[in-house]
Amino acid sequence: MKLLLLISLIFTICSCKIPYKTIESNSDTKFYPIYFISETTSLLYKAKVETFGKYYSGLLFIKPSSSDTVRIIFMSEIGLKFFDFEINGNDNKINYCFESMNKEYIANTLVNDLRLMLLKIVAKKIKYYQTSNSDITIVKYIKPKRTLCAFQKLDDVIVELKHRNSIAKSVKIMYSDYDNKIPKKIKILHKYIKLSIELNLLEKK
Amino acid sequence: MRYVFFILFTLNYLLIFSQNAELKLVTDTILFKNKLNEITQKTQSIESNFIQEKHLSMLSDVITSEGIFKFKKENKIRWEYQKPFTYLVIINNDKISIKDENKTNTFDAKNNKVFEMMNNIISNCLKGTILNSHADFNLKYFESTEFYVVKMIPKKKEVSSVLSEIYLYFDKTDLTVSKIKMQESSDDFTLIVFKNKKHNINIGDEAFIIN
Repeated sequence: MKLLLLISLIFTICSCKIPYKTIESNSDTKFYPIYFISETTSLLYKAKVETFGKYYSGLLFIKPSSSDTVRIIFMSEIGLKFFDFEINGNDNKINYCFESMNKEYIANTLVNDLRLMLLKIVAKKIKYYQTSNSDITIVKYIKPKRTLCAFQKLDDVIVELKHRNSIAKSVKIMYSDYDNKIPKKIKILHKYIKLSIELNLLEKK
Repeated sequence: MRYVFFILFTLNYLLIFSQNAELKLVTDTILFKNKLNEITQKTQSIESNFIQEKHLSMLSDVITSEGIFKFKKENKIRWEYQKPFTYLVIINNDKISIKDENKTNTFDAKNNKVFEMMNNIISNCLKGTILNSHADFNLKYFESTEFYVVKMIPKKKEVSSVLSEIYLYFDKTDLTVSKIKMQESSDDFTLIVFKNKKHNINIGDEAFIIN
């Protein structure tokens, strides 16, 4: 009887349709993350940042200085700088961080969230779900760890990104209200830690 | 190699010299203090437009915002940012209220050292008591053809960790603050320029209350 149950269980599992199909890496590069910020564009967002119960509001300035380097500066409305990060290839550089944010865990989480947000990630081994009756394509990246990106088929803009790095770090990034492939609204939410970022586009230069 | 260093050093020296050539030390600081005191005693209120520029040295970018500034004696200040975002800061004695979109926060200025410093600098400039801030700042006085310039170096660690120097530019024609430059320890700085200043006009107390 036990053997029968086991065989039927194996058959049941095997007969289930796999919801995504694997595609070879490099075979369909259009599903690799597409940067929404070019070298010649800089973006100024109104920003609300909450880190472990502390709330900051101000302006987030994103400026690429080369194809590989982006500078991200967060300052208060009255001009006092909260942080100044630099993403250069695979390296993160913290040029400045305001005292109350200047804890290794907080600063690293912030810079990594912003790296993910800007899709400055090396993506490898992709699989994708093609949801029926929807213009959304969900792409699963094995590297970086457990990352799912939802792209809108029409012009391949990203609408959602979910990334899980460890038990404590699970982040969801939502992009919306696109204007010429630039998201006017972005929300970064962590599942297990009190850290969130909300951005509203003010200026594109 | 030695010549390259010499040329670079000379160029650097000339550059620094030319930047500071316009400013010279004020010889009679008592006269300046008395003049400032006399003018500020007569000032009951100020309304002005302001332009705030954030200069980011490494990026050669300037982030500009603008709005309206109001001051009423003794210690009421209204900063209203209008472009490219709306943001309102009201300082009413020791209470600071901030309205960001539809959310209003009120807190004690003394709980935030940087805000307390900003509040003190601006209100003391307008009241003419800024030149008595020796406990919190080292003060140096300069002048150009257009301005008296007060250089303030913070003594408190909470402030000096954020700002290395603050420059106040007093217009020589009316001795009111025309510019405030807040220098960070990096080469980044914030410059606030006051324009279309109106003195002693009637400003109602409701301008310093957030509904």
